[in-house]
Amino acid sequence: MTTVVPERLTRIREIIAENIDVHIEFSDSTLFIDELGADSLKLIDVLSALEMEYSIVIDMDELPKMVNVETTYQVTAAAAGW
Amino acid sequence: MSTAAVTPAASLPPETLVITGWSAVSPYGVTREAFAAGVRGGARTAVKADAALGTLPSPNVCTVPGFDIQGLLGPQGTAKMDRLTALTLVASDGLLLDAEGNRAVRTDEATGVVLGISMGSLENMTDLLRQSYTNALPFHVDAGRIPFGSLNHAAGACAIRHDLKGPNTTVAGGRVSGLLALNYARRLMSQGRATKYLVGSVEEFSAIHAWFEYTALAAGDPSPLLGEGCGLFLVEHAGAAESPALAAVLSIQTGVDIDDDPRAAVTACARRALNRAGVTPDEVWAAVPCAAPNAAGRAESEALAALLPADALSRVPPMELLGDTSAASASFQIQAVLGVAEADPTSSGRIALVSAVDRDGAVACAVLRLLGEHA
Repeated sequence: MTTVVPERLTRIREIIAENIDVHIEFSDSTLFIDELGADSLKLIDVLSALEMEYSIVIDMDELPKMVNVETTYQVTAAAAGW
Repeated sequence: MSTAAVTPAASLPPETLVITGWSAVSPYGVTREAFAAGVRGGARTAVKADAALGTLPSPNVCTVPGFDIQGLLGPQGTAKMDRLTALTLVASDGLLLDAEGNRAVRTDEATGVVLGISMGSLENMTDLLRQSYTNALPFHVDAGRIPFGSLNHAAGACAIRHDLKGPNTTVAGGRVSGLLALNYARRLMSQGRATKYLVGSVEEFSAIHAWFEYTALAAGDPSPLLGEGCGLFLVEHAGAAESPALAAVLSIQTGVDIDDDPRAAVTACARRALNRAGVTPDEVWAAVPCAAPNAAGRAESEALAALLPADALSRVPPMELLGDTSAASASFQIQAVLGVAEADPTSSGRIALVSAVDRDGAVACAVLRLLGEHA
């Protein structure tokens, strides 16, 4: 398990909120699709925005793992080698 | 008092295309009322450009005042929306909704949308291109903005917003696109493909658009004063119209200036449009050229001045007041006539001619009969 860096977590939360178009409070375990109304297109926007932010490449196979902030952080951290 | 024959809307052939509503998001403001008052007052709209737009080829712009996308359309779905789409959606709200935001115009399964544009949202497209070239990898672009880059996005978003399921089309034709769109709606309605149409044209201002226009300047032409906005109409057949007709579209003619003689091309197109409408040049009560700030625009004004009565050309304040609104201009020209006509009881039954010419040689003219009733 990667150690969570608070500044990175905050930024990832911002990217998620912007790309899923969320305007309500949500926790790190809130489910993107079931609870925030995201669809697969929005999740690709999130993946793409994270790639751009950190100049990384996230394998598309990782997309199903990105179900909430927590797992998205882990996927990003693995791709970035944090 | 005029002796011109007044044709009541009720006596029109039922298949005549009539304009029964319009909305304008323009450099005069986001409402139809602001546009009509601004046009009638002949007010200038140029302001000093916002510093946030960066370096521009001209210091002044004619942007829509106070156009805050999220303030006007709400936060949902607007974070990455391009200005072109937002201008269209605000105009469509103005056309179909009342002041409380409730639906005021009935639409059905065959209500179509056709929108005239020049190149879509240049800012969105060039931003994506820049990201692709300058970021670490070519696919490191803002994927959420890609859908907004498709040319038909604004027309599609308009249909989705208002649940319009008829034909949905975008016509890219520069300054003539508003008239091309109107002709497209006329044609599809005459073929029974649609019962009514939201038709109009839109242009957005952006720094990249200003620089594009600047690099396309011919020697001696002034640095462009660019405008923006969206003009939309509701058009129906006279026999099925559910709202009072403001004007009948008698004819629309298009052409191409293949001889590099825009004056002759505009003259020929205007004559054809008048012939098709069954009226003579001296019957024209108001004429509005697009007034493009280039050789084609100057030739257009000369052609109309030679063909039509002098007072017809001074009836409506010049379109230069709005800046060069490019694709939006033809719709604004028709709306300027309607705005002037609604305040003039002598306008009913009179003929209006609107022309447009693009620097690439496209020419179009529309002839309308004004039908607005005055108390």
